[in-house]
Amino acid sequence: MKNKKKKPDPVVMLLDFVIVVMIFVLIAVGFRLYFYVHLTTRSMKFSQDASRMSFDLSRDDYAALIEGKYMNTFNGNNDAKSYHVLADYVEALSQYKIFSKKGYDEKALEQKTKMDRSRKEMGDLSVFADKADVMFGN
Amino acid sequence: MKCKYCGYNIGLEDERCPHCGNINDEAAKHIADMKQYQEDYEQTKEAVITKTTRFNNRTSRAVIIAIMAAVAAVMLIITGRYSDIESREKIKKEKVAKEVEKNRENVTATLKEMEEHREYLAMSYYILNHQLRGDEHYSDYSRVFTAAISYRSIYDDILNIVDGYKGYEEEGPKEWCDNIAIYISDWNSYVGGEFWDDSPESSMHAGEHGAFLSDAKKATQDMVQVYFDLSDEQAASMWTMGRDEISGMLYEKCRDLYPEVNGGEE
Repeated sequence: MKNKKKKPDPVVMLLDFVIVVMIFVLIAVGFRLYFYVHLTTRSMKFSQDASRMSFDLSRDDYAALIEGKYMNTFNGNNDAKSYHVLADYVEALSQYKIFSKKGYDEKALEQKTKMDRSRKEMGDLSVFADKADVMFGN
Repeated sequence: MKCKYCGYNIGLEDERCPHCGNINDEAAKHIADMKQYQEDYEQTKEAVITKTTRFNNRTSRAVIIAIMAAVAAVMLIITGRYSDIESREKIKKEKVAKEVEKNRENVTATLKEMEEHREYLAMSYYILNHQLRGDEHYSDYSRVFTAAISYRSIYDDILNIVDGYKGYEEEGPKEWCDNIAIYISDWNSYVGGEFWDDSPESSMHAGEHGAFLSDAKKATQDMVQVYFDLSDEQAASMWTMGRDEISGMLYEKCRDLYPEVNGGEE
């Protein structure tokens, strides 16, 4: 049996090189695609996770906290439940101040009930509820 | 064949006659021919194998490259569609619109419920989440939507003053008061419909919509009055005041009411 060493085909070598290059191109394009699809999917949902809501809270952005609660609720995202409860508390507190000062007793009582209920459910975040009480002069 | 010397039957490949031992001339030529044929056959076989292998190698690689290029092209087209912010917004709106269309009954019922219960904040976020502002099915809700959004914007600005949030551009109470003044001064035009020459009999102002608009205005007035400690007269007259006048009045109050937040501001 002949054991002749075959000369490599330069075209095949070139094609192999192109395949290697294409693998890198596909990886790069794949990452780019993943990034944008991920970004789009996330932006479609409008919802916020607990870390985002914690960040809002760290910046005293209670308006964003309330927005996050509503958006999460509408999108079926219940991951940040304790933050939702705190947002409920702040919203009720802000409304309570209006109704009690305007003498709308029934509506004020309704908000007070919501506040009391939220207080019981918020756990460690009650420290922020205390802070909100001070801010709203409750 | 037969041996030309003794006539004995011999094979074509026998070099000598097995009977008389004389040389078989035909065999030498035959063997040389066979050798030549064998070599030719081997060379042809080798050439066929080489060419076939080379062809297969090249073709398979070319096919792989073509598939990879096609996949990359498709991915690039999709990436292009998703990377462009306008396209992304379009995709998002299309997706949300499809969801709304699919759940039209629920969405309408929820809106109605929010309207009846005067849930201004919830409604404003619901509108945003479901992109309902441009939805022709809810054109009757046009002013109701603007009222809910205006209420929420003012509410957010008040919260920012109360909690001292600085915003992304380091806004302070002055800027928040300016924002509130914009929504109040624009209320009659955009919520009331003066800017659009709305007829009071328009379906946008009739029935529950009309009651909602009236209550939203009152709720906004109450909210601004309480958080800026305005007198009844000041609160009632803010709807007819100019933007700068409202902003000045609110900021003046704000400095007294929220000194911690206004710390360092002139």
